[in-house]
Formats: sequence, structure tokens, C-alpha cells
Amino acid sequence: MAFVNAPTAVGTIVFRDASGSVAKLQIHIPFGTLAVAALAAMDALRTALLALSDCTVISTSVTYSEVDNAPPAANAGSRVEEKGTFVWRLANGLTTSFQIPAIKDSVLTTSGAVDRTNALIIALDTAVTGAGAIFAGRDGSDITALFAAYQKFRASTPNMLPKDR
Amino acid sequence: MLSTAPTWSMTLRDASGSSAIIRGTLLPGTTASAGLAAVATLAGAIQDLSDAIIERRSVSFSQVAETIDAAGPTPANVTGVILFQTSEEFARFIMRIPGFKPDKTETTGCFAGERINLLDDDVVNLIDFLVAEPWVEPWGLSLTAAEAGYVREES
Repeated sequence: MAFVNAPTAVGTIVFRDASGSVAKLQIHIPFGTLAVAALAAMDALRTALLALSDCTVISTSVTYSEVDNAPPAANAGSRVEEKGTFVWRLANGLTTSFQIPAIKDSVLTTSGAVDRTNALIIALDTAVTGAGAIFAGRDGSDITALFAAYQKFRASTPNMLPKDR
Repeated sequence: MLSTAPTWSMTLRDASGSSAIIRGTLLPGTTASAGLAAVATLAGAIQDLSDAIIERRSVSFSQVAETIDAAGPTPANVTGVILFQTSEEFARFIMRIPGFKPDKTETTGCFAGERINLLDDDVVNLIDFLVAEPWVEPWGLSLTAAEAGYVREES
């Protein structure tokens, strides 16, 4: 199991027409291209494309991905619908959150709260809020502390139902 | 265009084959390499907490238009398709341009209105721009020349 770079970074330009319908264009950039340079190139491409399209551009983005080239099997019985919800306090006083799918029961208390004394939870907290961490809320405000953490379930989509039912 | 804070994401897959995505945000000014390194560290902590397996992780950098200009009359599903040759003899790259302007197509011949006029100034400008650095096809091959172009209506 090893994470390897995708062959390229993916540039995406989102177009919108007069009716409000949205379409995307994808182009590729060498993976080693710095994000600043890539975004500048995407901006120049946007200008060239707008000369050929009646749509307007609402956003551009560049995504750098790493994939596991030999992923192991997931633990038996794991289901992504069982979430561990982690709510974080931001420096500006607001909160942000993310959910970990298939949260392990061993890090939960009997009430369904996340056991914050568990060493693995402490490690997650350190990774997100510790010295040098660069995680933030959507507005760019730094994440400063874990505010709440608990188990939560989401409804299964048709594709999540067992294939052999 | 206005830069937004970089974002990260991870894709996990459980024993049933179902997948889910975790998303978050990074501090503004984070570079791609620093972002990927931080996400790799976070992935280690998250993998210890999940029975699902992390298969993919990524960092994205976005810009949004501060004001949305009015669009012209061509619908987004009218697509200009341009086929590019690459640095490898038999590999091609296809670019799809939504809302392709009808006045950029050929006006004579049996494919008038369908075939893209590859000699149009704006089309030439785009082609020249794409065959220069840094643009590549999905496996990293450089784009070398435009081979064909036509307009189609996507469903």
C-alpha cells in the first residue's frame, strides 16, 4: 500500500450559460507545477476560452491528487453511513466540522459520544490543531480546538444497499 | 477572479464497496506540497479511527469570479470538441468547450456549421496557447497540434 501522485494535476473551469445551466471543462497540468503558476495559467486559459464560448466562467480550480496504488480491504462490517462527527472551534469564534465515515466503535463511549481521552482521538486533535497544523474553516480562519465529537448515522442511498440483498 | 482558501478531501471505501468523502479547508497561502503533506499526516490519524480504507486524498486551489458577466445565447450543451495530437504518436486529447460560438465554425462545405474553423484567429490563439507549456493530457503527454474540431450537442 502506497500513495502515489496522479500523473497530472487536473484543472477545471466551470461555465454557466444564459439559462443558468452549468458545464465543466477539464484540462491537465504536470503534477509538479506550483499552485500559484497553475492558477495563473488557468486564468489565461479562461481568457482564451471566453473568446470561443458564449458562456460565462464562474470558477476555475486546480486539484492535486494522490491515490493508493494497492489499497487493502476495508474491515469487515464497515459501513460509511456510520459517521464520527467532529466539530471544531475556529479562531474567529465560529465552528467547522467534518465526518469520518465508518467510525470505529472502539473510540466511542456507550452513549455514542467520541471518547476524547482515547489516544487515537488525541492524535487526530493534534494533527488538526497542533503546532504547525494548517487546517482551517471555509472562511480561512484557523482551527483552534475540538468543540464536539459524536457518532451519527446517515441514510443509505440506493447504491449503498447490499448488492446481494 | 478571487482566490478562495485551499480545500482538501479524502475518499474512503467500506467493506460493502460504498464510498464517502471527507472535505475540509486549509489556511490561505498553503502550497500544494505543504497541503498534501498535511493531508497525508491527517490521513494517518483518520485511518486509525475508521474501519473504511482511504483510497484517495487531494488538495484543490480555486478562484471564483467576483462578478458574473452576462452569458451569450448559445446553450452550455452546445460543445466545441477539439482533438489534439500529443507527443506520443497514437495518443490523443479531447477538449470540450461549452457554449461554443456558432460564428467560429466553417461557413462553406458539407460540414458548414459543424466543423470548427481551425484558422479562426481566436481558435488559433487557443490552440497555440494549449500546445505551449504547461498543458498536458491526463497521463502527462504534451499537446503538440490540433487535428480536428467539430461542434456537437451534448445530451
